[in-house]
Amino acid sequence: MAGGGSSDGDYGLQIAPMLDVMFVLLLFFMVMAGKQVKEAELGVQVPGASSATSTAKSPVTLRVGPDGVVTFNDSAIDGREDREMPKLRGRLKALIEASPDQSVIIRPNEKAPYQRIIDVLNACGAERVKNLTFGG
Amino acid sequence: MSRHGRKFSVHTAGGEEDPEFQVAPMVDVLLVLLMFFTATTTTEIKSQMADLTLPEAQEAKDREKGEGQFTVNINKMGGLEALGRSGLEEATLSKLIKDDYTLVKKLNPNASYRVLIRADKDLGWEKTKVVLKAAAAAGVANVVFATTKGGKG
Repeated sequence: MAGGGSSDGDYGLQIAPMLDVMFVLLLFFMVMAGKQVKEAELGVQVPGASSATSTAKSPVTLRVGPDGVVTFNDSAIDGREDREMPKLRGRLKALIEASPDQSVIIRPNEKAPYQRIIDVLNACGAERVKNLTFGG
Repeated sequence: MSRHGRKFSVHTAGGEEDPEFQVAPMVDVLLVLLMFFTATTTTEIKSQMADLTLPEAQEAKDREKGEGQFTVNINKMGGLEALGRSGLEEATLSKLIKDDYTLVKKLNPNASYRVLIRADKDLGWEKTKVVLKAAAAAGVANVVFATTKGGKG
């Protein structure tokens, strides 16, 4: 950017090309920022020595099979393609209304689809299950 | 910079009082915007380095910026990545979590600490279970799963 020199050797700063470059950079970063996917999170307590607690109520066990079938205390609930899981939500809602400290254990099969387990966690989160953990 | 004071003149019908286009403030604003977008994009990319697509969950909460967080990525191939290292085994991962947990607690005993799992939505549960076991072995009970709020992959 040394252009614009006058006869007495005085160099001037060319604003126009600098602005062009800045506009291109700005556009690039704006487009990149717009493409960012906003992340959210679902929390759970992992069972461990420090977190072991005894609960008076017998826990509800939710199993997730390798084919994505979810069972509520060994009885199948909701279809495999049903991401919202309305039946599971209904039963969890009734349980939590009766006993807010009701514990729920999720026991997924090792081959169970990750998205399906997140669906179950999502349903538990929606019904405000506080005592939620994973079992082997 | 010598740009201050430089002006582009704009012709008007009158010709007596030429309104002038101030370049210097515009360049200032542009630089600030550029810095903002550069900074935000870089931070996001650093935390999302792995090649994976997060699962969707409508009821997920917005991400918290806690004091202590250990992020584990599980990529499309099922490989475990953390702290810039890939192909981690359960024992190594557990040690990394424990070391980080100890360091955070040493700096601030009251600091909250959690393990964030970012796993690809098409994987099975097997690898996530490894991370949960590693977290439990390291003494960290608080585990969160990264998701998107649906609609976007």
